[in-house]
Formats: sequence, C-alpha cells, structure tokens
Amino acid sequence: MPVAIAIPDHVGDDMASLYAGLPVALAPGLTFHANAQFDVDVARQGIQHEELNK
Amino acid sequence: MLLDKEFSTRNLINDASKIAQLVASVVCTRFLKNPARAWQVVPLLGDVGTIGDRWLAGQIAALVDTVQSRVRNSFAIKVGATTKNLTELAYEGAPIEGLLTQHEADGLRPGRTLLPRSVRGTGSRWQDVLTALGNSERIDVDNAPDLFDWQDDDLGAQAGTRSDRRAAR
Repeated sequence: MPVAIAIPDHVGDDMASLYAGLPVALAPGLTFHANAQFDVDVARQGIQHEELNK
Repeated sequence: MLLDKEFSTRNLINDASKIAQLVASVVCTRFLKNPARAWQVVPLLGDVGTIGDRWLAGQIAALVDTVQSRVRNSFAIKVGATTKNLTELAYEGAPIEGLLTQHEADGLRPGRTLLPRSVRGTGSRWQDVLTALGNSERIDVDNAPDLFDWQDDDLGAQAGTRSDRRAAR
C-alpha cells in the first residue's frame, strides 16, 4: 500500500495533516504531512480508533 | 478491493512504521547535506498540541517517538572533514550559547566536539532537538564556572577574552 510524506523546506505556519488520499485530520506536532490508506470514519473527519490505523 | 482486505490489513498495520522510517531517512539525509534546515523537520513531543481526539494524539506521540528513535540511531553530521554522531557531540545551553570555544568544550566535555554554529540554523530548535534525542552532552551555565579555575595557559589564545568575560560578570 502506498505511503507518502511531504516535508516542508522552510518553516511555516502550516499545520501537518494526515491524508487518506484526501485530508482527513490535522496532526499538530508532526513536522510533515503523511498519507496512507488509513481507515477513516464515515464523515472523513478523523481516522478509526483501531489497530489498523496504528 | 474487498478481496484484498486481508492483504491490505497486513500492510496497513505497518504504515506508521513506514512513515517513521521515511521521515527519519529524510531527516538524516538533511543533517548530512543541509543541517541548518534539518532541525525543523525533527518532530518534538512538546509540539504536539491539544487534539480533541485523545486516541489520535497518542498515535501521533508514538509516531514522534518512533521518528526520534530512528534519528537517534542514524544521526550523523559533518564537522569539518569528519562525520560525528550524537555521542561525539557537545552543545551549550541557551544561557551560554556562543560563549564557548572547542578548546573550552574539550576541557568541560573531553572527547566531545562542540556543535559548529554553522549547522545550528536559526532560533533555538537545534537545542530542543538535541535535548530530545539525547546522547549528546549539554554544557550548562552550571558547568561554565569551572572555566574560571583554569590557568591562563590552559585557556591559550582565549585567556584575554576569558578574563574580559570574567570581569564583565
């Protein structure tokens, strides 16, 4: 399964996010965006609390 | 797609590990090629703000910890013609930043190389990152007075400068 990260070259105010193809959840504290095939909730506003998403 | 569920599940469980591996790889490469810009990429637990979803906050904290662990093990930075890992480095705490020379660091932390200023980047994130990663030696203001016990011969070319600093205290 594809996994991707995006790391900024400059310090900015953008907050990192988790993606499952499209943005799913903000991830404050990370210094990068991360995309994976997370199991998202129905509203696509978060990821499911399950082993699959660890 | 449903037919691939088992295959997908087996792989998805490792996603966080893959992400951590990717990030750590980029960080370590940046420390070798453009260290001044590498510090900002190392995630810190202190930056994990308030997230409504506690479970997700825990996962993010675990990811930060995993990235740091991988960076800790693979960290290397060029100092002159050599490459140093964390166990070979020393750095000053914020109150005495920029006041120590390598000669003085040799006396306070024998065998350690003072992190060159040219690789520190802007701000104080480099100190936060080194503190979080551990293994390097921090020289704090509590250690600095030891220098005042040195003889001028020990201080070498810094003797005058050190005396001036002592007088300025």
